[in-house]
Amino acid sequence: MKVLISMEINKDMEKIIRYFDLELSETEMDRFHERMDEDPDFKKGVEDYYEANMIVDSILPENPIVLNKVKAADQSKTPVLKYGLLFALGVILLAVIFYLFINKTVDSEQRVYAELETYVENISKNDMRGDEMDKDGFWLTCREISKLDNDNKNAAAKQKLLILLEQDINENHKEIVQWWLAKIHMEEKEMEESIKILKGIRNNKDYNSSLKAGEMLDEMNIN
Amino acid sequence: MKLQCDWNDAFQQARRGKTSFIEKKMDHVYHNVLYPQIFNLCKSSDLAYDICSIAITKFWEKFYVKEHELPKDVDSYLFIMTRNAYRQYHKMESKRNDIITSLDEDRLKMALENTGRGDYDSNMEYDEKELYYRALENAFNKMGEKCKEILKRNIIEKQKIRSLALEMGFSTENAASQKKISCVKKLKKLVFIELSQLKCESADKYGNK
Repeated sequence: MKVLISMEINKDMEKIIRYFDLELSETEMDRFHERMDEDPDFKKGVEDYYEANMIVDSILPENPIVLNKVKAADQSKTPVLKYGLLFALGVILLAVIFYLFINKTVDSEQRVYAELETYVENISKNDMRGDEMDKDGFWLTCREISKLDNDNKNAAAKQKLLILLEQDINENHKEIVQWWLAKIHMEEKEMEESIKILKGIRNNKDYNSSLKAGEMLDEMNIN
Repeated sequence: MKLQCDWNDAFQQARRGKTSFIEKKMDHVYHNVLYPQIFNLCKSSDLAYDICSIAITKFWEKFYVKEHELPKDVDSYLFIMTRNAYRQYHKMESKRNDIITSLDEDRLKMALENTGRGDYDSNMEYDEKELYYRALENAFNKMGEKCKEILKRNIIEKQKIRSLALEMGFSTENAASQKKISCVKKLKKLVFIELSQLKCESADKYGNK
C-alpha cells in the first residue's frame, strides 16, 4: 500500500500544523475538534502527526531562555505563595545563622531541629502546605523529621535528608537540606562529612549561605 | 499599545543579549495570567506548568526566533495559545498516554547516530518502539546535510546554539535558531510520513490489531 496519507489529510496538513502550533482561533479550534469527532480519517491523521511531534520533541534538548525564570519560580506558583516562601526561607536561614553563630552553647539536642520545626510552622502559617507546594517532597520530609522520636532521631533524619538530596529537588531546598545535614553531622561529631558539605555550600556561589559556610570553615581553619 | 511596546522593547533587548527584561515580563504574565487560569481548569500544578511551557515555547519560536510581528495584545494572545494547548492536551490525552509508554529517548537518539545503516528488515513485525525508531531513522536520512549536522550537534553532542552558530558560520545566533526550528518542523513532517508508511506496511502484512 503505497498511498500513505489520504488526500484529505494532505489537504488538511496546513491546518493540522497550525493546530499544533496553537494558532487556531477559538471557533477554528471548535470546528477542528468537531471534525476529529466526526471524521475518523481526519482524526487518525491528527493523531499520527501528534505521534510524530512527540517522537521528535522527546529528543530535543533545549527550552527557550524565557522558560528558565518561570521554571525557577515554579515552586511558588503565585506572588502570595512566592513571597510567603521567601519569608519562610528568610526565617529558616536566620534560625540557622542564629544557631551556628550566636547560640553555640545552647543544648544542641533540641536546637538542631528547631529551625526545621520553625520552617514547618511557617509554611503552615502561610498556607503553603499540601501537594501544591510539595512538588519535590521537601515539606513532607520536614514534617516527618519533626515528628520523629528522640531515639536515634539524628540517624533517621540524616537518612531522610540524604534520600531527599538524591532526588531532583529545587536549589533553595537543596541548600537548606545541606545545612541541616552539615549540622547533624557536626552534632554527631562526624566532622569530615560536615566539612565536606560546608565546602560544597561555600563553593556554590549561587547559595545565599555560601559566605557563611566559608566563614564557618575559616573559623575551623579549613581551606 | 503600551504593552506591545514593552514586549517589543523586551525582545530587542533580548536580541542584544540582555534577557532580564523579557524574563521578567514572561514571569509576570505566567504568574498573573497564564498559570492561575490554567490551574483553575486542570487543578494540577504540574500539568498547568507543562501546558504553559508548551504555549510559551511556541510563542517564543514564532515571535522571537522567527521574528513575526507581535500581536496588539501580547498577554491575551499568549493566553489564547495556552488555552489552545490545554484544549489540545485534553483532546489528545488518551493518545498521549499510549505514545508515552513507547517513547524511549535514548533509543530514539541512536536513530540519529545510526542513520544509513539500512538494516531495516521489512519482513519483520516491529513493535511500537521499533516503529518509532525506524520512522525517525528513515526520516532523518531524508533530511538535507545542513539540517542533519545542526540536529546531530544540538541533540547528540548537546552543543548550544550559540557555539553551533559560530562553528557552522551562521551570521547570528538567531539565524541558527531559525534554521534549527525549520529543520525540526521538517523532521516532524517526515517522521509523520515515514510512520504512516511503516504502519501501513505493517497493517498490510499482519493485519490491523
